[in-house]
Amino acid sequence: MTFLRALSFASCLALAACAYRPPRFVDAPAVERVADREPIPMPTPRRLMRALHDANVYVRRELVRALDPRGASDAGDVNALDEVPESAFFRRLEDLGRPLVGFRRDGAPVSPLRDRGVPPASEAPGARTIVDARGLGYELVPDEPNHRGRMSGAAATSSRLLHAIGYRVAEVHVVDLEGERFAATRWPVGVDLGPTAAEGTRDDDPNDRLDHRDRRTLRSLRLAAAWLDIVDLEPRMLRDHYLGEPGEGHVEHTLIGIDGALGVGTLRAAEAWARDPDRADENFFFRMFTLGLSPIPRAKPPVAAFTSVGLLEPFVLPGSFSPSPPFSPSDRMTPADGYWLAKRVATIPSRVLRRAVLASKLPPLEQNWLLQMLELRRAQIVAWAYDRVTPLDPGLLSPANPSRGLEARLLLADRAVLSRMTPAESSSYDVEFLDDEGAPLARKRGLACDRGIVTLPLGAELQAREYVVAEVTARRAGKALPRPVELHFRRRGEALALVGVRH
Amino acid sequence: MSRFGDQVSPRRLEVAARRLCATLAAASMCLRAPGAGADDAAPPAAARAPDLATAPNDPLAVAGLERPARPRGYGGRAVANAILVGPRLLIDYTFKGVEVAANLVTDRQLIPRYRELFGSPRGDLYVFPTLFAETGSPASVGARMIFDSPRFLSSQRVGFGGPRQVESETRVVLKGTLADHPSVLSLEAHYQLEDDLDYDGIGVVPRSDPRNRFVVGTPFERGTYTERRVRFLASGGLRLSDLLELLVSTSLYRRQTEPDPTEERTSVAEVFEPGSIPGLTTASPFVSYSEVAARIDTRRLRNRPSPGWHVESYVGGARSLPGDFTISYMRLGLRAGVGVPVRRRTNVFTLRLSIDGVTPLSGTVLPFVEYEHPREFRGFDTRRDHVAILGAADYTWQLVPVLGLRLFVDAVTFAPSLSAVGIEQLQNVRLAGGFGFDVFTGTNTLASFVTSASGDGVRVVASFGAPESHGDRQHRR
Repeated sequence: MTFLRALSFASCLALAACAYRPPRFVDAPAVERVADREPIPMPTPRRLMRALHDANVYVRRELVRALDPRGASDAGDVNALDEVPESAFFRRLEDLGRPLVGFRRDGAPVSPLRDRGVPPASEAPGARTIVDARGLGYELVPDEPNHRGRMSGAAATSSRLLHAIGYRVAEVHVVDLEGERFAATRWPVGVDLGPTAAEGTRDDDPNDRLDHRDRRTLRSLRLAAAWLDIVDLEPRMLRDHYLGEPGEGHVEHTLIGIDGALGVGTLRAAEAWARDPDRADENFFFRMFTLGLSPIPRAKPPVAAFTSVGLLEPFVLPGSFSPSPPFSPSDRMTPADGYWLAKRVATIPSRVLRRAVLASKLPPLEQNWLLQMLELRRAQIVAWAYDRVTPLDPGLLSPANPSRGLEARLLLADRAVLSRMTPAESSSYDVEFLDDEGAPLARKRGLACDRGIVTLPLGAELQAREYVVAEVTARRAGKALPRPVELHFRRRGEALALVGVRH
Repeated sequence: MSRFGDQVSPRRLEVAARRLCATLAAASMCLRAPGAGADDAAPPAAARAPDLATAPNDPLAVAGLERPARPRGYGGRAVANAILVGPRLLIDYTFKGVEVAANLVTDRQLIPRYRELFGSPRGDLYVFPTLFAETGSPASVGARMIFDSPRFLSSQRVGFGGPRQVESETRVVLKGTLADHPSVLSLEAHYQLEDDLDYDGIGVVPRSDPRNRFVVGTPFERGTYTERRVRFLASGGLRLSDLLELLVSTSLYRRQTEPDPTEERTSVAEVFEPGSIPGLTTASPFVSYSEVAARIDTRRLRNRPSPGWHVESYVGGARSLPGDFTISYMRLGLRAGVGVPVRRRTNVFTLRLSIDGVTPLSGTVLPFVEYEHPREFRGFDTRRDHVAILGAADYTWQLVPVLGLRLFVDAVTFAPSLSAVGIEQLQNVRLAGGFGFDVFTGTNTLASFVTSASGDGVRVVASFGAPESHGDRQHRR
């Protein structure tokens, strides 16, 4: 009886705590930079313990996930406007129209080159480490025989595009040496400290305080990988490095060795599968229920469009794309994280895409093909992410003008409509106003919309309140999108000011 | 029409505002990007230091939050989390602890010191968390740390399953060559305390075996006891060819046993007549045991299913140091197995047979813990006798490169001697069949989960961690 009472009490408490309560923002400008690059002593370089890593990602991670009912929380490296500020993981996009600015820091290696004689961090087949005439370190990865430009072109293009999104990426240049073509990666920059942990933080870096699984940049890396078809996201590819003099420097986290991008990894895997005499059927359940005795499928050697490009398909399924080995932060990618990444991808101008492809030094025909594939895949990634939230972003907030009979209003831009992914005629919008505890302030109502620009009126009765949350939900062909966008307002003086956005 | 929508506004201002907003949005989406070319050179130094709103390195400060959101269904999740947090943290912290230990070992320069000491230019450190859970037994968690270099291997292992379920092992292995053949020399110290161990009596049908004296009228078929084991072991191995290995080992050990407390469990003291169980005492002497074994193994991989065959045979003798009573016995055994690929090399059908025998020498009494009892049997069976015969058939197939499934059948029986194997042993074969899955890397098994059903019930065994891959047979005892 006592147990039943306790259970009833716990159930009541649980029910009472089931209601949603929105976050509450302070009235301050959105943060644009995180102070996570303070001087620290140089941490000890670490190397990956492969057996431990495999046990972690294939066993511990799966067990812990299965036993965790809490779901992913909001990312912790996001500012009030739902954007990622500059940090040791993410660079500042100073000019959205020129996102490649800053990619070229040291340029291609300058001859004469000499061997460094240390193992390459990228661990790519045939890779070697060199020092150029200026004393700068590079890793040279040769193209495979008969596939000149395939790997090097993929590395050069994809590294630029990841940089354009905002990731910190080692610069890669395509160089020709003694008749052979290489991808020259400027690495190490500073002191290489080894792979970045996919979970937790680096305990000897006091600046690293946020669990890496809660970093939006890492959570949504899966979506960037889907766009660029990076099927192998090895732990060695994300690295910590110390910049500055010992005791005066800091740690940054950089992507390197992306030589399997743009279908090159897919092609390698497909070739290996075709060569494998034990190749299994692609259907997991068929393999399971036939006890592995299913007929050996016919080997169809993969054929790329050109010898110097990978097997980059025009179609991509972002929801099921999962690089190997499993990357723990991806498990926690929320629709808001995906939307943020999709915005970043969508904002890369087509001419920047062309510049990135141009860096591959591939023949014009291949470049043109690659560009079309990237555009097609980008559209699918963006459309997928835009369908999982209400893709509205705030624009102009007009104050009330009583003399002209105008009330305050916020104009919102529907990115899906403005980018012509969704027809404006089939879109409608509802708003519900809440207080800071999540209690409704007014009945849900529709909003006016004109070709993707939505007007959110902020009437006089709202202006009197201290804190207001507007939940705006878009409908496509009458069907509501899964998540509303939340706009948070606080009274500043006599009017409401926008202080926070959450998708 | 909404209340806000009813407001009248001058048309011109509205249009201007809309145009401005559309322009801003389009600009932010780079439909008409500002700036000239998409140069990838670094920006001029002056442009690199804009005056930015900077926050301290704290998620709430970065997000500009006074208070984070409370998600929908928070209460229900909190209740579910309260239920699941225990097992989750157990698994999580087992791994994290091992990771920390591994990093500590690396950071404190232990590996370079090992290298200095033994002059090995390179080495690898492997740390495996271990978790073993079985129906009817407390889960055991722990870690195994292996440092492997070209000439030296060091292994430390600890396991903990409760105050009376403790295990610790330290091994040092020196690797080298003997007459141009690869060889190893191993030294080991091992301690184990284990309670709640079952004793059914001796024989294939203990109830009818005259060697057992059950308490008159007891309804119980088995009782429990505690064993404390200490062992020091030195062993040497020589690989004469890629397939053939010779193994020699000698150990000094002591196995002390006592009935479990009767208030907690059905102790052997309640089931068997006092003094009727041979060697049930904490006053047992130290025993010296030496063994010679030979093994031929053609499998490509030893720690995961692989086509090929193997045969192993051993003979050993034991004699106790002077004490309250004398222990002297001899062991002899044979193990053989064959794995064949079925359609694919990743589908392997394996048949195994093991015959183990022990016989007391010089008219001494053989303690009950020295009777043969095959631990590899995957069902419930704690019978024991001078001879134990185990047959197993496994079929494994690979689902993905890191995951395989397994179907199996085990059969075990016992006899007082090999010549006494007859119809009774066949009639009293205990069978266990089941399925399971293995998680493995290219060469090793990381974890396995096995469910088996036998006449005594369903047994679920989850084991996790480094597999046993020892050069001498004594480790498997």
